[in-house]
Amino acid sequence: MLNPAILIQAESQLLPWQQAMADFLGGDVMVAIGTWIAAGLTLIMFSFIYKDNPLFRLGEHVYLGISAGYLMSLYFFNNMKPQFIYPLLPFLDPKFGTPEGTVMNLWVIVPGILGIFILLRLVPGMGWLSRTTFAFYIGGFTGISLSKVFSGLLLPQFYATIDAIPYRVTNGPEFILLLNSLVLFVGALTVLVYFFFSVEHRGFVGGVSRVGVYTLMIAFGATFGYTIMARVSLLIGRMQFLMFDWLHLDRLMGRLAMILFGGG
Amino acid sequence: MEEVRMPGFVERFLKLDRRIIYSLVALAVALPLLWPLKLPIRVTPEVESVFNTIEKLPPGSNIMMSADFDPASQPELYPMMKAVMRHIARKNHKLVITVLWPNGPNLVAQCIEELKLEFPNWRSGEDYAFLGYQVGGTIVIIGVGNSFTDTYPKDYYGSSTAAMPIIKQFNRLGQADYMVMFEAGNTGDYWIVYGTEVHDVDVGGGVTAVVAPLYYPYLQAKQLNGIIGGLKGAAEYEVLTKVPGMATSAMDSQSIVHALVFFAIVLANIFALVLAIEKRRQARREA
Repeated sequence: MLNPAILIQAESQLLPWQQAMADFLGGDVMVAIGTWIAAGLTLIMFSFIYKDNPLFRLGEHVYLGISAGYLMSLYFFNNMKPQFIYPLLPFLDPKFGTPEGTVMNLWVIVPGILGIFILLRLVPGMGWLSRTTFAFYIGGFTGISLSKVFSGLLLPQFYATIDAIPYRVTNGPEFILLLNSLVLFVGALTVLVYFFFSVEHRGFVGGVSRVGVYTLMIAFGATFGYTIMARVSLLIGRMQFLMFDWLHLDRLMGRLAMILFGGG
Repeated sequence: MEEVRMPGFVERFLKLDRRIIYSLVALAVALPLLWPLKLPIRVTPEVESVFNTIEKLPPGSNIMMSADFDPASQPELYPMMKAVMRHIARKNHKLVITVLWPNGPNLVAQCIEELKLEFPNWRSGEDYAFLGYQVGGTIVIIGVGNSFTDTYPKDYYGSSTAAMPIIKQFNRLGQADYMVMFEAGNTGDYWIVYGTEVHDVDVGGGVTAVVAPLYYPYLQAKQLNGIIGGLKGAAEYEVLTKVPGMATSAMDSQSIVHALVFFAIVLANIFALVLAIEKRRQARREA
């Protein structure tokens, strides 16, 4: 385990061996060590492409452990302390007594108790108390959501399906718009029929539902194309990191170019 | 004789070791990064719409930004966020930034630090306010609709938001002249339903390619006025701002890998068809 004190010292007063290490790692020691760890973990994760191995498993567990620990500390320091502990016990706030210090607010006891109720699921015989919190949460959120989802999502999407159909076609672009709108309208209707299970999908309904299946397949194809693009982007990001941030191949290429073609 | 050899070759191709395909993909990514081909990048109307909205707003307009992603989406969303933020800083707009994903704030802070090198006079509290992460998702969105200072008493750096000059003119979502959200998941749905639709604010979306198809219905319904989709969208925005960055340099690799995948799919399907025909012929011969 690296001693942070040594790293801080390396940044301020570099001994010859530390300077040599810094030069080898490529500048700032802390950043360079972080880069080497990240590069090592990236290669460990890539090793799965060859085949499953213990190092990959180790990398996986390190990732999960660090993520869980980081999130927990984040929630505690960003939320539990300023929004629950400080309002309850304001003298614990480092800015207590100053205008920026937290003011006591005993109302936080109510969400605090509701939160403890959720944790009581772990205590045999007291798990039922968590239902109170969930009931409160679900009830409140449903009340907030219902009208907003209806007016902000359902109706605008419903209108957009019908609204897009132009009622007059006088030129080429308007014809294309009409075509687009019809595809959208027919696609939406046929997919809805496909998901309507109260009628047997035979005859006319079966035909319409089949059009719905084709519409869905086209949509899945488009999504698949986008997914490939996303995954390739992630690979490019990692390759950029390995090639330029870690190995500094851009600098190497520049030096090679200077040696081969002269200049400077 | 030829009819017998062809399926053997076809079968070998269809059973190609996946590691060969991975190696080809790795080469297709790495080589263009070292030797860029500078393939043209065509700007799509969806991206241009976001750019034009920010461009046409009078200087000093209020812009809200939400960066709802984490390092897993950094290669796609970071370049586009930086390009958009640079555009906003260049136009002297007022910017308020929130984050609804716990692992996102460090990326925004890094982006701000990098842009400060380009814009040394771009000041926290005056030109922009980075409010950081707040737990609650939808509740936070509803909260910023009422007041930034109530929802975020302190900014990412620990300063009181109520004392900030920028907050005096821009203290709730409804006061935004435009909003840009960067989304790696469905948090954008909540911004639209609980935020921009309620407060009648125009919004553009910078989204990862995986979730882009989910946001196109909002574009169709004019609930979004533009979409910057994936790395390609980021590169387009860099082209519009005339500052090529990470996304532009990555587009050659993206195009070459797409071509490789395209030909692999086409070839595999042709060979699968040939194989099926050959098997049917053999079955007939045997019958």
